[in-house]
Amino acid sequence: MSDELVIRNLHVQVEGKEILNGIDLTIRKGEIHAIMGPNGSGKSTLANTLAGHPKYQITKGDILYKGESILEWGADVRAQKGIFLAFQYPMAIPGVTVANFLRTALNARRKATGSNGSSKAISIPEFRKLMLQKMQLLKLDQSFATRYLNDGFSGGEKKRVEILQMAVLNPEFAVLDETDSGLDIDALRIVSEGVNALAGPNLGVLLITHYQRILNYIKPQFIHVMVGGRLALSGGPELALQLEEKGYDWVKENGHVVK
Amino acid sequence: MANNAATLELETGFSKNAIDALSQLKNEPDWVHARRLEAWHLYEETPLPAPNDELWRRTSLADLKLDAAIAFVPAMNGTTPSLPEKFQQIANDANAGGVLVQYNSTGAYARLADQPSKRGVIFCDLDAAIREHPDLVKPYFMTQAVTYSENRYASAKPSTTKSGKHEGGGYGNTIGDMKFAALHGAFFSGGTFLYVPRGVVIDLPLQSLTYFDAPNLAMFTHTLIVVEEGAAVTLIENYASKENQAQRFSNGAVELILKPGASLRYFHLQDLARNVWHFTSQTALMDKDASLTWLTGTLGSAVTKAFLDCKLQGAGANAALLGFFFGDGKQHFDQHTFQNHIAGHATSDLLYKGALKDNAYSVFRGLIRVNPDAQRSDAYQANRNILLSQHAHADSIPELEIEANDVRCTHGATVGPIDPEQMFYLMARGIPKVAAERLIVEGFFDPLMQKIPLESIREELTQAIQTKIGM
Repeated sequence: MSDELVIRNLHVQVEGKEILNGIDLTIRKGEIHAIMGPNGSGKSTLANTLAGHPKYQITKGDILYKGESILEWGADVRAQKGIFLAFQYPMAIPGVTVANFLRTALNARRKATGSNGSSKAISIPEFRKLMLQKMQLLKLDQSFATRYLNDGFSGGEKKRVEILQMAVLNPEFAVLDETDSGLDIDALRIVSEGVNALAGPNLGVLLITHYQRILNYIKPQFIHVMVGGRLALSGGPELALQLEEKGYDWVKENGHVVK
Repeated sequence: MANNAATLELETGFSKNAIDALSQLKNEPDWVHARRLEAWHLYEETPLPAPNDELWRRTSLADLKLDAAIAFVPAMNGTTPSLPEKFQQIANDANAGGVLVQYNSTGAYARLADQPSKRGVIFCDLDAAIREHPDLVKPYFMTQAVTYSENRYASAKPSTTKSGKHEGGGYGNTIGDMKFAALHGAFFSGGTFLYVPRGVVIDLPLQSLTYFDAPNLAMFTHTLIVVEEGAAVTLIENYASKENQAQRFSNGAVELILKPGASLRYFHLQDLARNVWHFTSQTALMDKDASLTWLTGTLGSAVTKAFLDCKLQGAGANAALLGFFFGDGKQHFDQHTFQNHIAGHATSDLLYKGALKDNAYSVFRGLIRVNPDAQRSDAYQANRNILLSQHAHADSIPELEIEANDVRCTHGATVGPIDPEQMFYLMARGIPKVAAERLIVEGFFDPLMQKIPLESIREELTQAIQTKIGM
């Protein structure tokens, strides 16, 4: 109960149009779930809804995090409490360096988590050490620290910096929204190794992807297939291989909701 | 400065009598007095800009009060001016190669490092320059750059822009900046004179600070910079004043003279109190292969009306024209820039960035003129505005007058709130809304802040911007 993220009968509208039609999913710490599905099935809507994007309106259902509903929490509060979204399309913030941004974000999280002893702002040398260590993990050159956030970054650099943020902020629950899209094979490997290094008993992961490819590197225990705003099919790792072979049309024809 | 300056006072208001008294107080040479009278004559002949004057219709002069102003209050003899603390820190910055302080209408303090001094650099207030270096002042002072005898805007006939917004017919019978440039010519006082001899390159930035607090004082600071052939220098100017209820008037001029191959970085940073109506006419004259970085920062004043004119007169001249402004409350900024390509093979690249909150209003009007002979000109212009409240407003009006056919010219303008997707991105990392806004606005200005070569001033500006954002 306490270390779960529970999505219960979630219905979501965007600009008056219903995109999610009743999602039910429970993710425990230590688990990796993958949601696969064709374009337009609602995968990114689910990711943005979990992160608290104001454009996405929940019309029915609930999201519980450690037993508490998060529907009233703003995006900032959700992140402070340990929910992380790796964006499909990270925004450029010109004029704000990666280091300044990350330190601001980390301090906001530390301030909010309060009583666990790390609530004080991190010192600059301590932060620098942490950041450089995590940059090494993502094979990012130190010079990224002083570059403007995502400004002029290549697709692969943006995705690596997303995982860098995840590594520094140390969330308890992470949604990776098409983190594999637009990556060449080397970048995909680096990003996946980064995620694997962070995965473990204290992290729940929801991996959203269109392709089976990333599952060669990151091994989820649970696979769900989203079609038309519902989870049409759920299963173990073998489901990904079936999908690879038979395509999404097979699910559309034979799918059923598995709770 | 006249010995008994502190004991004499000028009558209020602007008049020929006041000019005579001012010249007498300053014990000025006849030529200066004659120029003041000539300017005064033109001021009297020129009407105030009418409400429908094309270059004035967005800035009403209805509330401008000139009658109660006193044109001259000297710095107190023998006493240290009570500068605000932030100014004292900046003034003591050891990384500056020289400092000038003007307090009220006259120079109060001057320091120039040995190295530039030995190499013939002159850095003093304008009164001193008139006394000691008339041969260097006389040829330039309001004769070529900022003049009151030529209305450089009246002849402009900008074409309709791509947005199709221009009303057509050019600026018609605009007064341009003539009226107030003439008033300035009649009453200028104090200010900054910087002369860099041929081939002398000064690495350490120089700075001048102007501060005023005398009741009813109207400020007429004049900056004249002459950079001789192949010479290079940096000057940072800061303007501030004491907060006061009564309306104050400031009417400055800046003249930048760049000889062939000269290089100048000039920073004009204004954080005047919110009771000041600030008018300024600034002109750069750029000879062959001259290089200019010219940055204006506008944070203070009630009303700012600025005319900034860059004349590229020699082939190979290269100007970077940069500006930032941040309006809050009811602040009103109305800025005209003029990329005036007289010679060909020259480059001007303009970037003005503004943020506006509360009920602040800004006008950016950027004219690019390429004369028929100015082939192979490169002229770029961009104006970016962030609106931080629903009641803030920004007008951005690019205007082109291209008479040569072999030119590269671009312009772009944006006005809008902070991108909500940027906000979501930062908030999704745990950064609260207000802090996220602050990061984005600071980031918006950061590339311009990084141009400022003294850290003490950068920090001061960053602080001022943070205060404006309101945390």
